[in-house]
Amino acid sequence: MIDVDALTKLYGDLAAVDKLSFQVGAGEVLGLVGPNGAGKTTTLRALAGIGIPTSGRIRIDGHDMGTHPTRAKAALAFIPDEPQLFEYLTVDEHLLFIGRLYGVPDITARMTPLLEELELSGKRNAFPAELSRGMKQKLAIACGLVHDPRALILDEPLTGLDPVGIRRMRATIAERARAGAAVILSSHLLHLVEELCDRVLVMQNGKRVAYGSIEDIASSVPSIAGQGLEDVFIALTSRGDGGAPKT
Amino acid sequence: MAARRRREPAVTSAFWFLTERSIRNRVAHQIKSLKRPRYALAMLFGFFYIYSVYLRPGGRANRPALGDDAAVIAAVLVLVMIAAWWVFGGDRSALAFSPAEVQFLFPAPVTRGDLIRFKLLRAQPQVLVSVLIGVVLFKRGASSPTPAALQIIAYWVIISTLHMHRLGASLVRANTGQHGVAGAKRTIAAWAVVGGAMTAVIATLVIALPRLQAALANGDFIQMIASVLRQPVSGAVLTPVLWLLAPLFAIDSAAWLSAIWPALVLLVLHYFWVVRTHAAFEDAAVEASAKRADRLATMRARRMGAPLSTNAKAAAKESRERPARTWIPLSPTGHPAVAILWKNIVSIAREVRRSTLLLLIAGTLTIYVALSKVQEGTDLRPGSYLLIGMAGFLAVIGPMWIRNDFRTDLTKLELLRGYPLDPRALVVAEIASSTLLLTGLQLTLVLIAFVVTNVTKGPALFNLSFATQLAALAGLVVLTPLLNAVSLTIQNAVALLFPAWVKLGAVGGGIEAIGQTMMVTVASVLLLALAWLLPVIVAGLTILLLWTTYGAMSLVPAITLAVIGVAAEVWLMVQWLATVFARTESIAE
Repeated sequence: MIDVDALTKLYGDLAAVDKLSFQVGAGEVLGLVGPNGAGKTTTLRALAGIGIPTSGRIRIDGHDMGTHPTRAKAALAFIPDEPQLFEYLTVDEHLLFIGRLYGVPDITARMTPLLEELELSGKRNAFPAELSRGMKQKLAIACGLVHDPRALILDEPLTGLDPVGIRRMRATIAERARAGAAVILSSHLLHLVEELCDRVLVMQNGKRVAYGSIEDIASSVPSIAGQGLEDVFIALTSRGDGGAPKT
Repeated sequence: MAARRRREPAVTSAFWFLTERSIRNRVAHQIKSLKRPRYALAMLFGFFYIYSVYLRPGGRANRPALGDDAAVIAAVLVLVMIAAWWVFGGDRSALAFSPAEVQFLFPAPVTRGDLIRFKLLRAQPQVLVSVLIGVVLFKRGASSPTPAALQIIAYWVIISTLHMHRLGASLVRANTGQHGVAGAKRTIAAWAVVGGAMTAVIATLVIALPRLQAALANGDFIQMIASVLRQPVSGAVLTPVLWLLAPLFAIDSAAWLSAIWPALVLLVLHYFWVVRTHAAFEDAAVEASAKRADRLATMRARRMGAPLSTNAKAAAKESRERPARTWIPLSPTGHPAVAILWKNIVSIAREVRRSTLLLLIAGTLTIYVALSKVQEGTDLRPGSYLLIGMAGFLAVIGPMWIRNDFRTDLTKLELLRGYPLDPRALVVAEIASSTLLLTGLQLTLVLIAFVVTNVTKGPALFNLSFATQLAALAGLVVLTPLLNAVSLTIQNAVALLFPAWVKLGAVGGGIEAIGQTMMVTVASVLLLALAWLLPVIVAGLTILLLWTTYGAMSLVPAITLAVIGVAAEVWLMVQWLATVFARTESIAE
């Protein structure tokens, strides 16, 4: 579903992402973790078609992002950590707008349950300025989910959500994966990654330092065998040599 | 008090540090950006323009020194600008602090007065740039012996004073708006002065209307309006503005020296007025916070079914005041680019305040009626010419004024890039958004003029037959969108290529931003001229070749060829901009 092959992004001489390869299958949730500046956001932006890779190939639902960006983008949703909304569109109008962009004929029928799910039903005619930070994030999430994407890319999706919102979002991510979507979840909330993700990709200095299930990654390093993701993460990223075993 | 005295230099030095470092880093960033060929080219263009207009030996225009009438007209324009600040408000940009300033300075242990002083200090670099560009672009004639240094000082005094006036007007408006009756009482003196001044000028103009109408017919309108406004009552209103502008119109150094003192006094008075207003500004902030708390209390009370307090009722009423809603339908199916067009049209429909629109319409109607001899019920041409003139003026100013295209949307570049939309379709939708709106406005004005003049069966517009007028109207329907599309494609191209040099979104504005805008405007106008050059040459040659045989009919193939040529240019520019957009990852350059 999401196929990344030797993705490289250079800023001058600096390799923000260096020959990164991984796959996420239908119904799978991949956790993308790494310290600040590891290249996670650059990777996600490239996957979403926002950033242009220096080299490498990205395929979304079988469509090459380089040669058929429109088809690839139509299959995915990118939900950034900082919600970007149009000041002069209401909540409802944001969804109508997205419906038209992604060609969703039954958009009005989809809106009501989605807004109820995200507790935005009472704010359908509100403008972004009238929404709290968490509500804005929920609207960005609604915009991402309303066209039923086959690939879902989430960058710190729980930022700004209240405890109920966080619980619902966790359930939504799991539900989308069960429905067959390929999900990439980037987050510093390692317990969330641990709970939701089938596999984890650990990045540092633009490179892949570990890739696989948490158990497999942990078992490949004797000192952290049997530990949780937090210990694994610290052990892998504090070495700074980028030479951890790839599983 | 001792603590306060000890703290003041620290606050001032912190503000100086912030300003100085920001300028230094910004200049370094601009210099660094010259490594990119397109910025280097733009910079070379700027230097070439300045050299050819101002510095080239013999290149200086030998315009005579500007006369008293010009000073009065300039003062009137300044007065209109000031009135607009008071009536419509320049609040958004005048009172605005950057998000970082809000985050770091508002919670810091500084007074609101310190914040306003900081705002004045922070505006100075932009004011100085505006001054330099103003001196270069609006230079006085070479015949004026006033040294350039004195002109620079004059410009600085004028721009700084106007900047402070706009800030002061915004503070008074905020004070009045947020404090309700208490605020109105505190600001009543300011409003009385402003209202009295406006009434005096409007009343003088209304009384002199017959003379102005006659002057318009005789072609000496400018002299007449200057003479009318010099009359005692309106003259008293104009005098402070004339004092402010006087150094700019001084014919020599001696005249400048005697003219600069009143202007400096105005500058100092404005400084004290604005800084003194800070107390009210501080109150307004506190009161706004209290109202917000009341609003929350109202919501809680409603949930609990409790009665509302007076303040809470007022807050509840305020909370119902939302931006105007428009219901332009969007079908869920069809080409996705239409969604972009829909979004941009909805955005502008909501951005324009109803009150502003109504005032504009009322103002235009008043002038229309005043100019037209309605008492005779026949000759409506002067009013109609005004509308046609406004449409023509929009052709020039509209592409800079109507910005519901990339110039707004580039601030959300990441969103746009993530959409499953072909870059060409996106570029077309963005340019079409502003083109449609501008064309709609212009054609509405022309159509009103056409219909009103013909329905009343008075003298024909431009003494043309009805059939010729109809043909001209049909021609305008074809040509206007094309003309606008060329202008707006250039404006969007400049925004895409030089995002750091173009005002994007609603950020910025004000007198201090005029300088930078002018550089971009000059470049856009030159590009526009370049775009029309080839089609016009082709049309000219066609007329030259066919005129002897076909006479006026040769205009048809000539105009058709020009239209095809311009349309082809727009198409090529769109293709090119689509590739530029596809390569643009960030506007933070």
